[in-house]
Amino acid sequence: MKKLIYTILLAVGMSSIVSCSDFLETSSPSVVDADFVFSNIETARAAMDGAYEQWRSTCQNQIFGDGLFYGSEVVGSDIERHPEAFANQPGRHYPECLYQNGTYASSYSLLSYQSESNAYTYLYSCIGKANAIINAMQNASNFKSIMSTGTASDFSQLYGEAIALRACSYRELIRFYGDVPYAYKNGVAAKGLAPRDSIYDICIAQLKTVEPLMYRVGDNTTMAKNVFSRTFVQGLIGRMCLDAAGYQTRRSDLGSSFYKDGSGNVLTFETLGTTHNNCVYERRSDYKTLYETAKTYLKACIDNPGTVVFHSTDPRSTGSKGQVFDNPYQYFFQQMNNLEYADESIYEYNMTQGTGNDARPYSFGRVSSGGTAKAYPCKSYGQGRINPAFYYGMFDPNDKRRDVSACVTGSTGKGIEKLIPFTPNSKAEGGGITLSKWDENRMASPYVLGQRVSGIHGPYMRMAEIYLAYAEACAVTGDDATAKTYLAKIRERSFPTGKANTDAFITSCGSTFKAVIQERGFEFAGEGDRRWTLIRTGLLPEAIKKIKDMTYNMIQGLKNNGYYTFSNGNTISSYVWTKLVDAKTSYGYRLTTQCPSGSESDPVLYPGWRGQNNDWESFSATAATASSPYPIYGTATPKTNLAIKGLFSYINPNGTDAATLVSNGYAKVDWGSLLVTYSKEYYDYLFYDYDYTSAPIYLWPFTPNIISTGSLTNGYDFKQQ
Amino acid sequence: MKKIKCLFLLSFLCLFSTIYAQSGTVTGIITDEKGEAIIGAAIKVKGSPVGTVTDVDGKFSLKISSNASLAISYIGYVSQEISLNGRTTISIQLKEDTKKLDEVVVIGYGTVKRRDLTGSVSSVAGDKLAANPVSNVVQAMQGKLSGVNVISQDGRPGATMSVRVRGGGSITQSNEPLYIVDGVQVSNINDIPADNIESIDILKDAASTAIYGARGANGVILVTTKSAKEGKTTVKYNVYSQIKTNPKTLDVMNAYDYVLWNWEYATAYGSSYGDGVAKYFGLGSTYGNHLSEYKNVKSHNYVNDIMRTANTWNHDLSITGGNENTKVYASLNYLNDEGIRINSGYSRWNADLKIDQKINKYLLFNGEARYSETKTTGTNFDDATSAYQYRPIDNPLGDATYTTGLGQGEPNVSESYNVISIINNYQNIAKTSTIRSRGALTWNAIKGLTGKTEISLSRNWGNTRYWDGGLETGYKIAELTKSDGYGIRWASTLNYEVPSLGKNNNMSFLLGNEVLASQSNSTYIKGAGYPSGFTMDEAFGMINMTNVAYDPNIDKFTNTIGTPSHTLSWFGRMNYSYLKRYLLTATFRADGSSKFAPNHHWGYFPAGAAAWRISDEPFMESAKKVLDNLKLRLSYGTSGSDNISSSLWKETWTTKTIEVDGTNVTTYVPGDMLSNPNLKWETTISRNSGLDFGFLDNRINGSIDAYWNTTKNILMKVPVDASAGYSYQYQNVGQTSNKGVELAVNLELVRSKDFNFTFSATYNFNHNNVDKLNDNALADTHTGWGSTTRLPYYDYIIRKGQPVGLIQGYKSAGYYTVNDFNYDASTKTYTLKSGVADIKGLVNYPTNVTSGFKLASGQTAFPGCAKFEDVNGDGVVNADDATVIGKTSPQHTGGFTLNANYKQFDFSAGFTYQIGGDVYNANAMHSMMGNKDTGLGSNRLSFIADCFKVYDVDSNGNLTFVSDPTALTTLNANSKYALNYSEYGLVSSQFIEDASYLRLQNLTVGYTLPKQLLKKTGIQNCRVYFTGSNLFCITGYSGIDPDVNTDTDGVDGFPTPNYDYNSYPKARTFTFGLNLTF
Repeated sequence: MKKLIYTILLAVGMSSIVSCSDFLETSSPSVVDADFVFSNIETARAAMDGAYEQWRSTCQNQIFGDGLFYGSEVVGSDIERHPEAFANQPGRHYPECLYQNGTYASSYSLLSYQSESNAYTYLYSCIGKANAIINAMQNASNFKSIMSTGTASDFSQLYGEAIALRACSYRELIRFYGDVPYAYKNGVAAKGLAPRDSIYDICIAQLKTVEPLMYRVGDNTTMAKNVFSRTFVQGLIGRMCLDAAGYQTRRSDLGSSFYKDGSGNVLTFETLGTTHNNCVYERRSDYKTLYETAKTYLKACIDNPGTVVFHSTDPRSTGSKGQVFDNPYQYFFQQMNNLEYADESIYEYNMTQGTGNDARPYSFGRVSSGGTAKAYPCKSYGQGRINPAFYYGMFDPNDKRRDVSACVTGSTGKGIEKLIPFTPNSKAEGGGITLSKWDENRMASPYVLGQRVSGIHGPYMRMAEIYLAYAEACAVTGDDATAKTYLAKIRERSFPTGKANTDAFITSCGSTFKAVIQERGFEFAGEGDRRWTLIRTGLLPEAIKKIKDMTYNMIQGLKNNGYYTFSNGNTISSYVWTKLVDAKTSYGYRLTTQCPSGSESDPVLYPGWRGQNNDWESFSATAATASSPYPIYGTATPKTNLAIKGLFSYINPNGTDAATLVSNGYAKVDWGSLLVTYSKEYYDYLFYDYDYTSAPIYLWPFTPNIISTGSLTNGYDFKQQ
Repeated sequence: MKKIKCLFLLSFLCLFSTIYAQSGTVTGIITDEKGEAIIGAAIKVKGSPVGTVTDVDGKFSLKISSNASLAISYIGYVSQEISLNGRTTISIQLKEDTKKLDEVVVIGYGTVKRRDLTGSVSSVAGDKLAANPVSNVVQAMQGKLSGVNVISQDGRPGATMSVRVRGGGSITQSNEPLYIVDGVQVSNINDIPADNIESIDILKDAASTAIYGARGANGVILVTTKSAKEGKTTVKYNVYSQIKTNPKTLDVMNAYDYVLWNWEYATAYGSSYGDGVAKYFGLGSTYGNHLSEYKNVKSHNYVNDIMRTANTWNHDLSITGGNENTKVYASLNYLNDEGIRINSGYSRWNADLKIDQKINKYLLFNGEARYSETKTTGTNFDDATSAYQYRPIDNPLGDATYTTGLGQGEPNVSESYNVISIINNYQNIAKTSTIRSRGALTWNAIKGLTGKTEISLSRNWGNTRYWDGGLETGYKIAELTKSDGYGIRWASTLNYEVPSLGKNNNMSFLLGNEVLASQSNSTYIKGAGYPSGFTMDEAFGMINMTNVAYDPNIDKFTNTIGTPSHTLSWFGRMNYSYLKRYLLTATFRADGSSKFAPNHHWGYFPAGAAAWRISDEPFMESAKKVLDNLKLRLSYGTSGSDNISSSLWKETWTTKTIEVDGTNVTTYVPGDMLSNPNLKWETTISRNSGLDFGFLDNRINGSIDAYWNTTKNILMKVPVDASAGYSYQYQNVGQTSNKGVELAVNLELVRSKDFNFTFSATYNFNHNNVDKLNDNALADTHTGWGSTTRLPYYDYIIRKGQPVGLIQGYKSAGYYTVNDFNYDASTKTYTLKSGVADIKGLVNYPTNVTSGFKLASGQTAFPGCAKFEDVNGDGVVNADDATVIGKTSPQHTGGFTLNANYKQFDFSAGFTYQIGGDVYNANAMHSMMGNKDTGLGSNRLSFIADCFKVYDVDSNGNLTFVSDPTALTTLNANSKYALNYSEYGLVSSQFIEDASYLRLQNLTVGYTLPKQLLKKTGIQNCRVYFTGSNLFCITGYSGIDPDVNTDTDGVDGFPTPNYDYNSYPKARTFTFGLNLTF
């Protein structure tokens, strides 16, 4: 019997004993490892696509759409501002205003904005995914032979894209956080801070290595504008060189030998302003070397841009109803509004209409008080606003970029144009002059079913930047003539023939270099480029001083006289006179374009590039009913456009002109008077308490999790926990 | 009990052989102590296969030798043996089994008499559960079992019922106990009808759970389903019909308060909004001054429109019978449970077939096939309570078309956002089907040695159809998810009762091996843009009939093959008793799991327990008159928890389809978390001491247990240096403990022929504590209400030295009153008095309010502003003053039941209670949140009318801002809450409420028809009953129900217990039922 029992026992457990180790190791064909993914170019490409998706999400949600970009970059310059009251969003208004001359840094709660850690972790997630690809490809047996061929292949292109993704991510990390850890292996933490200069040097060197091994935009069908191309890498080298060569606020609490270059040599610096919050505002003494490198690669990009086109004339003819375009600068944004890759773009991160969360035009476009869904257009919050002193006092009235970039009207959300008051608020309810480059009214196929899903791509790099960066590099390295050539190319396309006055502009700015930097302000107005450009060029203090003085004088003028006239001839007044008109009947269209020369007195066509979509009716999601006449206009020819009088010239509210306007149906509306009412918002809190000499605290703090897991410390007087 | 009977039967068969002689007919009658006939009692002739059962009169007749012996047995009664000694008629009275000590308790891989039990096991009989007519039997367990706490999500159909045995040791991982149904592991027991359940036994301490090793740490719920019984064929039919009503809705503002509040808030938020609201409602001198007319307007609460009185039907039919060789049991159950919200419901089919076949005297075969099918309907359950926010005024007295005047609040009043249409626009129909089959072979090899091998196979299928009719998106969307999976279990055990150890020693061994394998796969298809005439069914029938014009890539598909989960185990148990008074149990299990890295595949779980039957000691002889039972139990052991994802220890890449500029692109992405090859299982060390007692003929019996469970190697998501490319990693970083006392007591207050009255109660005290927590562990999580403007963002935290489930927020101090300020009448400036802390960064009131008051430079606080305690004493109230404002874990829970019967009537009342613990009233906090213009037009809870006011209506009927201190004080004489205009949602201690409650879970009155009446109908038993459930709940909670857990899975893997946000109310039900036995 015993024997039998043992036999049974054995039978019971035998099979499992024999195959024990195998049995406990299970796998699924739906879950694979890195070796599998990088075993062939198709799946490796899919991994890069996964990395792009992380980058796209990072751009949109953290560093070039919402997140920190939204919090400080788009709003924290001399020409751009936020819409709501300062006290309403302390989490982002303090970082935006340089932490009240740095004095608030030590009080700033590390999670005040709640996005501080996301940008950091998202960017490192991009780096991690790039590292996974780079590490796997470097380990491939044919890596060396492919890299030594000297020509582009699918393999080297893929490798180059991963290198570019890593470089982009570090570039943005440094911009927002200063010195950060440098990680180059997926899954392996870097431990501790690396000097930003060494990161710049390493990234630039790597980009230089991969640049000749990549395809240009349009070289083949896969080289679309949402892929990192050779063209992009050339621009990126230029961009990173300018960053690396620029002034930045560096920590003095990390030891005198902390800041080293890519080869490990301790760097020397040139300092600007005063030491502050344990930090110094300075640039590398060898900055010109970096500018030279930038020149080389930017020129290469200009000389052979692939299929990228810099339009100096508008390819559009006159519209079917006689609309005048004649604005090649606007054409770039129109293409984006049409959900095409713009001809001038080198790289755009892509969005898809109807899904995701699109910052353009919701945050950086023309404002709309529409609802979250089924509105015309849907809500556009309008985080990016234009400083009134910049709009009135700095823009040349002949500069065609002004009306493309900024607008005094938004939308009600019911297909009607609305004047935006300067009262602190959001949407078209207040907040002042809106950024207007992206506008759902202007889209070929606007999305009316929901807010924030317009599908407009993010314009991450375009040719105008390359021209201006090249001009800057030339100016810094002593080649003013070439600098002026490229500056003129930018200006001339945006002015009527003969009105660009580049020489006079340079003279007024004080130098070719300063003129180039100032030009970037006009070219990229409202796009969040200005703040960083001023920081890295060291021109931040004087720019702030200038705008604050202009704002002060403007408010004083309005307060004392009811108007103020700027040196360019523009006048802002306490009141304007407006009335709604039926533009479709009068002009044949509602969406206005470039104001035809000579029509500047037309209160509907000037300023240009406003109005409403020509055909909101056709996009209506639901039919109108008696109780709900919206969204289709209640009558066949509704009054949709706003005629504005007195926007740039003074009309005495007690005079006969004003009385005539009222008798013609115009209403007197508060305008500049609100700037007086809210002078604290427009003047005091504009770079609140900045003393124009202290090292600017433009950075964001590391959050407690980042500090503890990375064994880091916060600098710049931020809290440690 | 059935197993015991089988054993009896088998032993009889093995040990006896009888020669028949002197055949004749013997007749008899079997009655109970009251003299009532017992129907279906089994009469066996000892030593022969002959037997019968009693008829409806309790009578039987057998052709047997008049000197035979008869064994008579009936469930719940003490079995008797009678020698006929020549008699041909007998009359036997069976005594009810009150001792309960011979009751069989199911333990892992076997059974034991309660007398011999060393571990801590709570048991409940199936009929006790069936007495509470609910669709999910787990709900019926609440309050019935000591050491077991049932937390319900809310009242939605198919709501999650979480079971916690002794608190639960894990933080981020599942705390659900292991469910074993007839030996087979299942993920839950929601699909088993209470009528099918014979008993539920819950293993609580490691002495009993260690035999389940890596799966036992959270306790083990062993469900024994009804099975075949030998004897006369019996058919049972149980049916009930239930009427369900919505017992409570939230109190909301009346029409006047609603209109006035919105007007004031809109005016504060921006003058154009104030004007918009005035125009819409017809307020102020410009728009007709209709404000006071709203006092006569009846407000419309859409909660009443979307909640309904619902019906439930439950049918249960079972048949059992057989002879000693072959026994069969079959049952069929159907439940149709309508939800009390429109467009919601739950239905279920169950079929079960069991066969026991004796092959020969050594071999016994048991087979079972069980099928179940469930269907859950409904989505957007939030609307069940939040619908009150929508359009409370049907006919605004202003320009009703001017909804745009409410800005982002337009959907709150616009007819195109009607909540009823929204609910009906969506369908989510989830069907699951499961087949479980089981075959076991038992081999009685030699005396004392029993071998058993059992294989069970299960298959499951899921089919979820989600339908969006396009109301909000503009186009129709169909999403189909199909899943399938399998489970295999092969368990073999060998039991050996060691013979010839003498009279005083008993020893037995169990050795076993278990192999488990399971896997689940899923397929997902999404299509959109169906033709306008398409119904949901047509869309799912032609799911590819999509329209790419809406979005060329909205159609999606994925297929995922799951990673199989394999477990290989060896286990053993030794029981030893000396003099039947000193009992010892030792168990050991070795588990290998495929979920861990190769170096951590194996875990080992030992346990030991001892018991001392004090009442059987000779020195207790004198106490025997009153003391029936006294047993002391002690145990110590470990068990584990391997219920985690198998992909946490290694780097994995999976595919993910994304849209790139309008084109679908399939990508490879690595896992979300950094892999951790050193991951180990969470292990629970359990220590238990218990005392079982029975006095006065067992009229008082029960048990008391004290335990201390320590769970170490707690798995948590730990933030890692983000430069690695990952933000988190799972690590074993902490230790928690649960200490507690639990008591179960039964009192038979009256025991007589016509009247019986018993009282039983359970009481649990549990104290949970986080003993150790690595400094780097991320222990904070957050709920979803208020989105990113909720402050503090992390409102649930975990801290060392405190229980799990802490609510973090600000300690309310009401609001700043006029008296908190020095008022300078000349400049009209409010300056905070010294010692009164200002508030910074927590409130952002609209500019019209903050600029309406003249405040000292840099000061935020104004009269009416929300005020909180300066917890850290730094002189200012800011984000740093967030502190623990609530502890959710209740310390005292339990229930009690009163059972009585008088003649043909029976009565029972079941109560459950909880004392202590906090509930997070997010509905109230959300009402206090201004929420910019998004909050405009939405109705709010009624207490909002008692918020501080800064506007008054002047003689012209227009709003005026009030800033003068005297006027403010007068205006706010009755104000109780702060001005609620701040955009931020503040987690305030003001709305963290005591979750204590006492609920009348169910109240039943039944009537059993007299047997004489049924005699001629062939019906053995007929009972009709009425049950009222959830009839009342005594609580101080201002919300709907304090027993709530909106986010059952927590957030980011952390629990958010007792969070109440838009929960679905629990129904009050009235049940009419009928039990028939043929």
